[in-house]
Amino acid sequence: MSEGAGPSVPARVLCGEEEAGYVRRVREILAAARLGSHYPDGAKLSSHLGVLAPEVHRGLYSGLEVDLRSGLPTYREWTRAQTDVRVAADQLRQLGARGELERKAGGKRGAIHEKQLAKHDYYAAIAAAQLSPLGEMSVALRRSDPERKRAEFHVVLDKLDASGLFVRYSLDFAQTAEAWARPVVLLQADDAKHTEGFRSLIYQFTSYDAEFTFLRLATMGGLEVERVVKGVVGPLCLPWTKGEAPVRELLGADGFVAMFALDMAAVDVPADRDNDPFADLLREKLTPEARAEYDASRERFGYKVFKDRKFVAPRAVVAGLKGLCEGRGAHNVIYGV
Amino acid sequence: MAETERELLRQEAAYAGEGISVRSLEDSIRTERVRQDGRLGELAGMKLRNAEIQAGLAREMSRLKELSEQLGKTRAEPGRLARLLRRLFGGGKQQLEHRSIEELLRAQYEASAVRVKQAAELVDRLEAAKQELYDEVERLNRKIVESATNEETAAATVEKLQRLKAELEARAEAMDPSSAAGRQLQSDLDLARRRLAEHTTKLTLFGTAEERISGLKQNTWKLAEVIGHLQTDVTRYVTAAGEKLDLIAGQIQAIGAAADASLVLLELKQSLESMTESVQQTTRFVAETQAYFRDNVDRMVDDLHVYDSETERVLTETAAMSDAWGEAEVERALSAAIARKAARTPGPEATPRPGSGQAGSGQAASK
Repeated sequence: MSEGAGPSVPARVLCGEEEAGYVRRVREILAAARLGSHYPDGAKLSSHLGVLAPEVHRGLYSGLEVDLRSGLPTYREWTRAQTDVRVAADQLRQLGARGELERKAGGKRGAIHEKQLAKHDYYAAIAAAQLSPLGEMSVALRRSDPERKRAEFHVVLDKLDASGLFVRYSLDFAQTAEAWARPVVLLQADDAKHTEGFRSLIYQFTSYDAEFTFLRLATMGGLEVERVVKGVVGPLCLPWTKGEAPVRELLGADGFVAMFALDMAAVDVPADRDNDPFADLLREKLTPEARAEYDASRERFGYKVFKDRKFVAPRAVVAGLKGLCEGRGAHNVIYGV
Repeated sequence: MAETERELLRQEAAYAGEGISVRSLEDSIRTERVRQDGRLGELAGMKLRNAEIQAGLAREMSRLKELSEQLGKTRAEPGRLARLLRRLFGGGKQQLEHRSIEELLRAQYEASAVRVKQAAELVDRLEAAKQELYDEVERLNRKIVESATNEETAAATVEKLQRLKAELEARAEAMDPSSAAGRQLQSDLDLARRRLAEHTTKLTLFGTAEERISGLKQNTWKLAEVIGHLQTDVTRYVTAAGEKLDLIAGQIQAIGAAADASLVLLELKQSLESMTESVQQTTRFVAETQAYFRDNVDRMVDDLHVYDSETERVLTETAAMSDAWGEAEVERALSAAIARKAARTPGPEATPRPGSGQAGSGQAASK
């Protein structure tokens, strides 16, 4: 393990058994987290992560760089896996038959043909791997009323956020006649397609909370926002990552705490509720005047905010974590592994 | 007739390898050429790959230009993020933001990562091809040594047979041709002529084989050198671009988290410049490589065609003459063998050692 990597993101490079153990652990965590549809797709994330495992890349890469802020692989590593999967079929075609590579590699360990054989096996193993999108938006039409020039959409944006966390933004809103001249979603028959501007708008908001995005959309004009949900995978707190100090104290030498936040601003939430003991609220950073405007907007658009967070941790850490959450007035789901 | 003379007439000279004939030499040369054509085919495939990368780069340059223009617009509007927050509470109709620079930069980074990956894979394929060519050179060298040894054996045998033939002719002149001894001598003389024709054919064929295989070996070295130069240049690009991309990946992740809008824009500008420089380097490299292909590989293919015609001519002549070697032809074949030997005598052939031919880094760039 070595410190360093990129100049802008604090990172640590894991090698060998530590690298393999890390990937194994994160995949176990993702399986244990039981992520629902408001979170980034856990199966795709796990598959994407699997591409980074040393037993899969067969030593073709020297190690795995982990972002110390999120405890997850850095953007560079996720992109590496994405790139390799994208080029895999073409590379397999260019490498040719495995049998021929095996024949050439015969008895020449460490030589280039041995490496080409390892590459063949690597690309064959990952060619069909599913990838977690690093920045992808999809739009589905829920209902359309052409006479009233009103259409309801469900939009999902998956993104590896600048914080190093995986974020899924799910938006339900109606585009009204007012937005017909300048729509955020283009509708042709039953085919809905977001505009580039709309995508960029949401893309930039992934680091902010759901309420910010709800308000931003609601004040644009021409949109009736029903729900904004933000599901986050991470951070994964390990003894050597930068995490919440009280959480790090629980970890011991080999512990971990994985967090999965859910942040919802919606008109059908019955009451405001904050069950997230580690929420970083934009509202709290505002000046008193701005906060008053923020509160007034809640009244004006009739939505409520619900925040929650679930955890995965080793059984030995569960009790301490539970106590920490309860000490902050939250009662959270903690999956022990 | 002495026993040693009978032995010389009986003996199938001890040539190394599988023996040689016009047909087998033709087949052997053809096989080697097919092998070499395969290598040239691989090189043509790499040339095509290079052209594809070039086309991809042209698209990337166009996107970078767009990105640069976007960034220019954004930089003309300072405090954009701050105004965004202010607008949040102002209500009313607002314009959608133009496409996120971070998003464009990510898309460009991910496209560039694919391009660098393809180039890195090309480096390894070039290395594998180069190693195979070195193995090929070793194999051809073994064949050349075998042909040279056989040529020397054939030359020595031809000289002995020439002497024997002259001696038998002198004896025949002093003998009654119709006597039993005269008939036996005539029979020995015929056998000597036959053996002389056979070994002279072999002498010519081994000499031709040695020359042709040496030619093939030289072409194989040329191919290895071309591939080596390409590999050096692509490696240089991959290393430089890879380092830049690593830097950019870190910056991109940090950009979105930065709180200060002016700092964000400054870092964006740095990333953009770095990316542009990397793509420009690649474009330059790819263009130069294409020129190198055009100047060297295409000419080499033309040379090989000329070489093929020359081989065909020699083999046809040898086949036509092998049944009727006269004194003059035998002398000519011997003289040619002696001349070849003399040409080799001054010193070992200047064959570069594997790996030493790759020092010409930048050769492609200098073309």
